[in-house]
Amino acid sequence: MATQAAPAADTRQQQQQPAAKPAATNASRRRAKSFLRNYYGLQQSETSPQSGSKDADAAQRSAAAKSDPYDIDGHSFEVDKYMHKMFVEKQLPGLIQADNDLVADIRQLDGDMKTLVYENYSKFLSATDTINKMKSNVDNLESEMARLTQNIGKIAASSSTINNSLGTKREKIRQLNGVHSLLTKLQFVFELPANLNHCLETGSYTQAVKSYCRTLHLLQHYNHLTVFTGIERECKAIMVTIAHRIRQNMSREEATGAEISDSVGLLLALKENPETLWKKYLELSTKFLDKQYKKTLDDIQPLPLYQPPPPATPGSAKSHPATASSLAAAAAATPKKAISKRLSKSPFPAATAAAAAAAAAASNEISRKSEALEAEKPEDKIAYLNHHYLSEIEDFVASFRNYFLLPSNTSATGAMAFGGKDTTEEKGSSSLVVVAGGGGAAFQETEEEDPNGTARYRPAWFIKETRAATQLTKEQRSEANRAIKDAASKLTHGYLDTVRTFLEFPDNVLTMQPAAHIHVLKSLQAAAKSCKALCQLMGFDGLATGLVQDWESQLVERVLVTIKTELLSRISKQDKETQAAWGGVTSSSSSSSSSSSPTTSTSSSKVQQQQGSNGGLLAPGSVARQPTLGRFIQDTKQWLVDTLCSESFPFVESYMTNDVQFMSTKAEQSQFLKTFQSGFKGFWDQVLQSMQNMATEKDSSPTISLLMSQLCFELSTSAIERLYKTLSKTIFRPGAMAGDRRRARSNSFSIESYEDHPVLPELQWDSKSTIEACKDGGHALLDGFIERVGKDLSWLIMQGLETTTATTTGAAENYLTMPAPPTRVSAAWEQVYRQLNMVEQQVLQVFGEDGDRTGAGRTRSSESNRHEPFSLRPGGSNGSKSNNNNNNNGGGGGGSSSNGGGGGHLSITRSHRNDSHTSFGSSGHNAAAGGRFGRQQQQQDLLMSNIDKLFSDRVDIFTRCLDMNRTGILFGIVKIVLKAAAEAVRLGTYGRGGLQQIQVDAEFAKVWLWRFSIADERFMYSILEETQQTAYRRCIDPVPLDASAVEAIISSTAQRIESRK
Amino acid sequence: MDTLDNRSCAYGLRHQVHLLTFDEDALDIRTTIYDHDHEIWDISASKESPDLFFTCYKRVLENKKIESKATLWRMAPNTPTDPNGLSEPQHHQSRGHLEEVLSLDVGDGTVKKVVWQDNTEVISVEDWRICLWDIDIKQGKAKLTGTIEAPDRRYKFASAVLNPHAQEVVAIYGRSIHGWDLSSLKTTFALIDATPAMILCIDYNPNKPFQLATGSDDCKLRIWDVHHGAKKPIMVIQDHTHWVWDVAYNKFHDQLVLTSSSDCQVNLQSIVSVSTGADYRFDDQYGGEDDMDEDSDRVVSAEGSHSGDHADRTSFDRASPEPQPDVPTDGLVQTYEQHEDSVYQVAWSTVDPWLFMSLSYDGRAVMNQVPREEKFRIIMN
Repeated sequence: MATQAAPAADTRQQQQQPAAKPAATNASRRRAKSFLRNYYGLQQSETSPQSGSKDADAAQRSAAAKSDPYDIDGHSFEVDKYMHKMFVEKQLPGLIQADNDLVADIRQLDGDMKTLVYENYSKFLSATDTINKMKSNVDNLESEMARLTQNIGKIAASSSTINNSLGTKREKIRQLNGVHSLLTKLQFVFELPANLNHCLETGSYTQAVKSYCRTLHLLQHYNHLTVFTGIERECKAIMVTIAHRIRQNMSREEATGAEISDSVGLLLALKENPETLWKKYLELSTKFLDKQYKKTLDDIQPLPLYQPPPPATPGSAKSHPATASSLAAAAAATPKKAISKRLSKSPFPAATAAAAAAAAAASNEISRKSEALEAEKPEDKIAYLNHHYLSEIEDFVASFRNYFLLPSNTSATGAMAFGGKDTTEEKGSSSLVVVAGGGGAAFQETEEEDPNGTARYRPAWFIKETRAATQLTKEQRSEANRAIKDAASKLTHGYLDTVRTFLEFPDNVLTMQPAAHIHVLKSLQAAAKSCKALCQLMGFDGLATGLVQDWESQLVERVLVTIKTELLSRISKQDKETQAAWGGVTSSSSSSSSSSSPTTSTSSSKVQQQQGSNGGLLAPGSVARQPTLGRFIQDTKQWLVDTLCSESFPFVESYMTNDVQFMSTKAEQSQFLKTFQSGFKGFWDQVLQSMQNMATEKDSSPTISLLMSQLCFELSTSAIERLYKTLSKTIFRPGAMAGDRRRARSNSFSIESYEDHPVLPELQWDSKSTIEACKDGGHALLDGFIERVGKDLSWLIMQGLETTTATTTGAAENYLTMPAPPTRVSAAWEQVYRQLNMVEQQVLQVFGEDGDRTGAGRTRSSESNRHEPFSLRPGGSNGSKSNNNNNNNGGGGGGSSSNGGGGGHLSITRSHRNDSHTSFGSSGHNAAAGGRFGRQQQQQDLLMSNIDKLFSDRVDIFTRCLDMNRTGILFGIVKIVLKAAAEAVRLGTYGRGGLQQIQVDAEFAKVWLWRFSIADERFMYSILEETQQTAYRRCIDPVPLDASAVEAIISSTAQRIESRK
Repeated sequence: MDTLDNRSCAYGLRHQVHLLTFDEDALDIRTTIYDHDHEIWDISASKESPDLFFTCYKRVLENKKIESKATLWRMAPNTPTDPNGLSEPQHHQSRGHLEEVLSLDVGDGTVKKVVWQDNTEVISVEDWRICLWDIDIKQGKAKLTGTIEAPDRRYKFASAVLNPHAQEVVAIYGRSIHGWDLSSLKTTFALIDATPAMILCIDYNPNKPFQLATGSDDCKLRIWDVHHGAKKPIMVIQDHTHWVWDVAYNKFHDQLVLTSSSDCQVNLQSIVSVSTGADYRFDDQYGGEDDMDEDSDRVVSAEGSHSGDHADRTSFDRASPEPQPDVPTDGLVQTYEQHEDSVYQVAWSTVDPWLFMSLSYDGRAVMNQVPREEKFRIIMN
């Protein structure tokens, strides 16, 4: 098909080129064809064999391709053959299909061809236009060129003329110039003593030293000439006086830091002994700075910590370019300007000493003035401090390093590096601009001497000369270095301490205005950045950054600590209320301490007291309180989440959204975020930790651990994830820089907070581990609760076993000598039952119904609740009991087993009960019947119970409570109590009465504690059974009570309990 | 040889003392049975004379009063005419009888335990006091030389142990641990309310002064260093699920501690990090590093410039905590669950460092050995 396009292009060419000759020779056509082919990127191999291709291979390949007459795209395509083949090969539908295909192909080719034609036509038209334009432009060009050549020729001619005429004079001027400068110098030398004297009188020592230093080498060079020797001698004498004066000057009491520095520089220039000099310098400066420090501290007392900036006054800002904060910013720009100005104003090296001195003085004066101006402005503490103290330190350190420390061979680069950036120098240069503008050319000397062009506070020649003079040995230098480091660190620490005092947090951190602190820190950072010398010497900026980070972490901590304390105080308050409301449980905790009292009478009276108080407390009043604990947990959780979301997070964020310089970069921000993140994580750890501590405190009630454990679970299920989500979309929002934050903040807490926002990956680990920690903490607290209640109750029972009180006589008796038929269930067990009831109430309040957490338990617990009244009612209980007993005795009792009252209750438990009860019941009867066989029987029992144990599952007593609901928690407690009772029974020796008492107690427990141990009834029955067996074996007179008698006692107790309710 | 008693708790059952003799080569246990008239609550054998032991026992007087006594017995082979020979001895059993040597006069309370100091001095632990006795075995006489009253009348003494490193007795009562000097009877240290739970048992580290182990009814084993008067234990281990009734240090390798509990389990714990083993190991490592330095010095001289890298690498290897598989580590070595009831006592063999026995309520005594891997781990280090 493509080949068909090629001829088409050919014809098109003819159309497009009307100017071309029609029907050119075959060869030219082919050439045009190949051009077009190239243009359209067609393959050479498709060219016809007539194209005369030189490539033999290609020809062959194409020949092979051509030889197929059925190729509809090939050149050797033969219609007839193709048609024939088609007819032979294809059925009618195939043919129709082929026909359709062909028609479609043809149409498409048509369309293609037309498009090509249009495209190329328009191109051609535009080309024609272009050519026309070019043609007209070329005409103009030629005439212009001609004129240009003419003019240049003229200029060349006149220039050569001028050159020729001036040639002779130039040489002369140069000579004269040389002579002039020589004379000037000579004159300067001859006038030097007089000048120096003059300086001495006027007190401009700087100028004197400068002049002297400049001429010194000259004098020394020519000191074989008597004239110069005289001058030198004279000068030296004067200089000695000057040096003396300078010394006096700098030792004055009121000498400022700058003066001292200047003086030291001068003395160095006069080649004083550098070692003694640096010591002196250090001493004087330290003294001065201490003084300055005190003064500054006094001065800043009345100043406000932070002055909100007055509503934009650009004029004032311009007039005081040297305010502390804008200094650094302006630093880069100003010097260049200043220098260029000065250079333009002083093209000739014609400085006079006086002018330079005046300049120095003026600069000082101006800086003073600007300071004064600043002082008028409302100023805050940090700015004042930076300005009056830190800058002095910086000055001192900078000059000291300049004078004594920097090695001389690097003076040029050192000077460069040192130039024009720090505060003081900047101040100098900016004030110099004013001088240059107003006072005229003043500083030419400096410019001339210092080809680097950096304007500096101390003229460059100082440095040059002093460097030359500072011939300190390496050791001396390192000593000086150490000394200055010590001094500087002392000074800066004083400074940083002061800054720290600005950053005190108020008690309630949320009321704090962020602006003040941020301002302080901002200024600190700016100052630290600008104090190059201090930074180089001792990493001052590092210290400052450290301070900022300290502040950040403290901020985070403060914010969270407030919440923590509030949370804990809420809990403990609630605990107190609960204690007040639930006197019973509190008394149980107090009973653990009282129960350890050695005398029986007190503990037993306590028990009775408790009975009294508990009886009252089980009154309906406590039921009315039902939802308090549960609501408290919900409230607290809500409060915690709300406070964090609506107070703390925005508060922290407000620090980030402010245009805070120290949070301007990504790194600094992420640093802050890291601090916050770890702080937040630590917050949870601390909360959990202090919850644990609260739970283990001696005087806390066990209820508090229950409360807190549920709180922990609540937090772990939803709250923490929500908080981290909130964090993810507010503070930690990825890529949100200061500007975005502010914009987004307005709605971030209102609208978005309800949207689901995934936790950021970097927070995910934290979130997960916090949830885990909360869960663990909750479990630990819950287990602590169970253990504690369990222990308290076990203690009751164990204590009861050691000594018991027969209520009828009031006399204390023990289990060995107790009278044979017990009259009632022992007080300890009744007490245990009451307390368990109360704990159940609390657990229900805190954890809700069973179904809330584990769906499976629901029906069962409600069922047990529903049936409880029946089983507890004396009649119902009687029925169920007799049923039970009948079975045990192996008698009939079939009729009574259908007794409706206890049926619901017993249907669940009967099978287990039978299993475990049989052994003891039968052995009891046998023993009662005939003592002879008793022993043998007993051993069999032992064997049986051991075999029983083999097949029963081992139950862990103190384990993690996994069912966080009524069933699980209460079973945890009951387990502990029963096991403790079983252990305790083993330690005693019993008389008949004792045995029977234990029997009664165990039966009581079976009926009344069943409700609490539905999680594993089998365990309860087997362990109570074992307890009875143990008592039986440890009894000196083993006669168990008749089952019906036991029944009677229990039902009477039940009646008592019922009536109390 | 291992002596342990059968603590027969069932009243009215025949009370016996069984001497179990274990033949390690044949893995065979022979039992010698001695009848004892009353129920035995504790037994302690003399360290010097293998045929002497104290028992603490209780008897009921006239169905009214329980009397508690401590008596020193001597084991004697049975005479042919044994009046107590109810059951014929089986092939690995033999019978003997006990000769009473002397008895200690016990005060009001129950005597819990007798602790041997040597064959002339013993200490008895009663409910409200600890008594020091001079005994004369030949004469059969005991003389009370001193008493220590319970410092807190609310709590009975639960147990006591002698400090093997000094003249000191350490007793436990309630939640407290208290030490007294034996010669002056003055308090050496007191950890009042040291734990939140009642302490049930105590043992003294035989190789490391000032280190104690206690078990309490919160399922926890605590290791104490009483030297510095620290109020907190240096290690707390909880692997039991009920009260810990007994604890025993291995006499040879004090990194091995046995605990028994009423959850029917015996746990073998390794506390190597606070044992004397840790000290030795630290020393060894130190020495080893010195050697290493010498080695690398040699390398420096031999290999020139490359040796620096080499030395660095070797020292790094040394410093990095290689998880050597054969180093003993802290933690539970093994749990023995052969008992079906509460295990009230455990004891190490006094001669074989790897052998121990445990006794449970149902009268089953189980002899076990330290697992072979742990044994090798300890020997290799």
